Amino acid sequence: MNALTQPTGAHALDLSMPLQARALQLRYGKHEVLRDVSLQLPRGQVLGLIGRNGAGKSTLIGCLLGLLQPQSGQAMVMGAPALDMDDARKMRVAYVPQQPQSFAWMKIEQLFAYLGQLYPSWDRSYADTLLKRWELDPGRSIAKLSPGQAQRLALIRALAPRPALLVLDEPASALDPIARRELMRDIIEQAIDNEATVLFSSHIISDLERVASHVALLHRGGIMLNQPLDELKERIVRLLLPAVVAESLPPCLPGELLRRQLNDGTLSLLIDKQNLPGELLLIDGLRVDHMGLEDLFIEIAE
Amino acid sequence: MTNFKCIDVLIHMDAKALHIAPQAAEPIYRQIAEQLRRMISAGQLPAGTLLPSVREVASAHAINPMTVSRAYSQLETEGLLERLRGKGMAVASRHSGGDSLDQRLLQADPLLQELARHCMQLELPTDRVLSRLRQLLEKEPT
Amino acid sequence: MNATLQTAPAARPWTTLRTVLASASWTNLLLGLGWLLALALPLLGSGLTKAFPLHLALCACTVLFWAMLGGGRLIGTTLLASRLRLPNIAQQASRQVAVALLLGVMVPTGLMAAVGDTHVALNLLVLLNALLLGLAWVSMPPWIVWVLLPLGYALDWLLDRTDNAWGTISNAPLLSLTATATLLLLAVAVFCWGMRKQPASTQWTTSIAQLLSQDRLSRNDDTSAQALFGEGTPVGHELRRHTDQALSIALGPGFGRPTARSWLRGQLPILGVAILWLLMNKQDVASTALLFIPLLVVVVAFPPMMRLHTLVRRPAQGLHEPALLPGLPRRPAKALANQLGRQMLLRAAPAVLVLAATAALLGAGSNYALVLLWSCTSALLWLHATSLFALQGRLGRALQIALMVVLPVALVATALPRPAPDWLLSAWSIAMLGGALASALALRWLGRRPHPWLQN
Repeated sequence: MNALTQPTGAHALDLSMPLQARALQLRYGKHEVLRDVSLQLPRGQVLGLIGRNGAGKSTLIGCLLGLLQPQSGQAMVMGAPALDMDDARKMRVAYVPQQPQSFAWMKIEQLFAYLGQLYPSWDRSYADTLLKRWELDPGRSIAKLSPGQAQRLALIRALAPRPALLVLDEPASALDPIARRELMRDIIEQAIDNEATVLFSSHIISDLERVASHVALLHRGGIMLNQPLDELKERIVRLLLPAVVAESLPPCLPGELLRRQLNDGTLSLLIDKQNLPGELLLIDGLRVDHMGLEDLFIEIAE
Repeated sequence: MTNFKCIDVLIHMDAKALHIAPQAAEPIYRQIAEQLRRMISAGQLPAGTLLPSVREVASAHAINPMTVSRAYSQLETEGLLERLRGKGMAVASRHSGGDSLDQRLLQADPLLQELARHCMQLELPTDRVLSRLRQLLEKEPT
Repeated sequence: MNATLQTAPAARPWTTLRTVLASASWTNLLLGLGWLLALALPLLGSGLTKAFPLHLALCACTVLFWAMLGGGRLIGTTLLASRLRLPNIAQQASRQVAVALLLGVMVPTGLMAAVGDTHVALNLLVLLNALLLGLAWVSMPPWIVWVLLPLGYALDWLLDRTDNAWGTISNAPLLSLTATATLLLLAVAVFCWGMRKQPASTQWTTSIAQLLSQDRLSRNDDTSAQALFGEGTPVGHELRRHTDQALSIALGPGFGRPTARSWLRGQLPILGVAILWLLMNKQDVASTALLFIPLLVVVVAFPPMMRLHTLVRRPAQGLHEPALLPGLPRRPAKALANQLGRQMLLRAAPAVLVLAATAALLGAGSNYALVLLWSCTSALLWLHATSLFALQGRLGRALQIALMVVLPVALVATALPRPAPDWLLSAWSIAMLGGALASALALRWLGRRPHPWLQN
């Protein structure tokens, strides 16, 4: 292990907690984007970050990786502050931004020759395999790639050094369904082979439902939910209560996420099934719905 | 039957035989577990059938392997599956004959309840529903 | 209320006015300044008595810039509207032209007439020319500039050869000259629009107005124009040992790993211009050349600064790369400052030598070279400092803009052909010291941030 792989500085390499954030607060001028956001991503998890457009997902990812400086709070990458990452950590982290435009003046093979020298763990044969599988010509100039090809290149670039932490910002937005499925497959393989940790934000909730082990919902600057996906689907249910009952309910039930009045007076209640008071189930005209992630997201974030 | 590939003497189940709907409200591990339970109950997977590895299933369906291993572990604790050393998960030998009628009925019960609820919502007469059901059940499986 | 598509809403005159003003954005201030000058200078007595109408010239300059930005944007939006098949385009365009003529030509002429300038027709024509020149400039595909320059000189040279042709031309009344110029400019603009390539491809074939209409000017496809180290940056094999080279490659065009071939390629334009000046062996060419040589030296060093500027304004172009790539120098602020300085030096030093030699051949004074060296070094030091400051925040960028205005004026003023005052050299020495100090301060300030590549 040469100097490049040993952590420098005072912080010991903590591979068990690749990403961590404590009370992040970020403002752009007067507009508060992140409001006391805390997050923990232990090793091996695949965390899907969902939220509406403009909710601050990219900003959060930027803060987590040390690209943005929060007004208060701290983000840590493998035990060191994200704003002060050393090479040992940088070589284990791979980031794919939302619309990759970097290195537009190079050709693909030059870029790989360059990156191959910087990353000690760069797997050349894997990179070549992926290039072939995704039909990218290594001699092509990067500026001339279509948006879908540019995104694929950025993904290959991120996967080739076999990172321990993979951070993807809307990785599949420009890909067609087959390419998306293959991308998910490749991410999973990385996760198995290297016990990699993955954080990705996406609008395409179906991808998330396949691959994510945990889901976090960023809403109005704060993290509203951060739970294992299976738990989320099992425990959060929607109760539809007739209007007459709605009035007699206490203002906030334990485990309640939100309540809304529908047009015909029925009350729609999102609640954690675990703490459900038994009397609620006996109400006449009650309907209980289990929800898919997309429906859940729409209910909460609307 | 396309569910099986005969390799050596052991029968392998094909990963594609499972049908997974990631967008459903039911978690994926439950879907897998349910399907395997049903297949074992019906005798479609005789004792000793090798299940596809966690990685194979994850790769075939592009899902998280932890989900698959959770389903397998759950079935293992229920005694339906057992781990063969060096070969992976296989159907436990105790359940070679399939479940009894009552146990199988219990498995189909949630669906029957759902059907009953739909019919009541639609206010369908019972005898019409039953005759249609009889029609479907007596049809030759395609 | 039935929807009749033909019925346009009642024409609101203020809409067109507001559109024109909105498209010109900050150049409106310039136009206002032009109006002020047109009004004030004659009152102060400078315009009417002298032979050269200063107020007219300055006003025309402001109208030129106003037309470039506003006209470019308006033409661009008209293009876009025609592509989208919006209704009433011709009507809107003609109204916009009317308002532009009103604001850019009529009002200044009226103001000048009000303070006693009686050459109404001349003023009108000159201002109209300025407007048209601005419009023609944004209509031209950029490659025409390379054609126009030698063409202009060739024409000049030709006229010299033809006996007395220049004399005849310069004797013709100014009015008819400007009228001819107007017609020529109109022709050029129309020609360019007729000739434009439809799916605008590279930077050199699309006019600025087209770029504005596609919003590509802001997205900065400047890889071809500014990559003095061209396509195919050689990557080399030694990056693990030479981390500073790794950093320059990560930063992009304008930086990049220097090789002899790419360095020579970067110096070619300077050599070309120098040779052109030497070939035109004429007095006024020489004096113009001497005036602009310091500016040229500084402009040569621009690409790395522009690249930093781009990275800060459009972080998606790769600002996160130096932040997240391993194998880069351990102290990024110092490395960045070094790289920037090295790149600026590599480009400017040979340019200074070449242009100083050219200046000597063109008959510059004895201490021209010294003044050149002093002024260029200070300019470069100050530019270096403000580039680093501009990496964060509006203050730094404001400083940069201020410098961009002050520097050219200072450099050109220094090179004016007149006996140099004694304090010139010392003034530049002080400026140099100030620049070095500013650079050091910028480095310290940058070093105190977590890293220089923060996006906020």
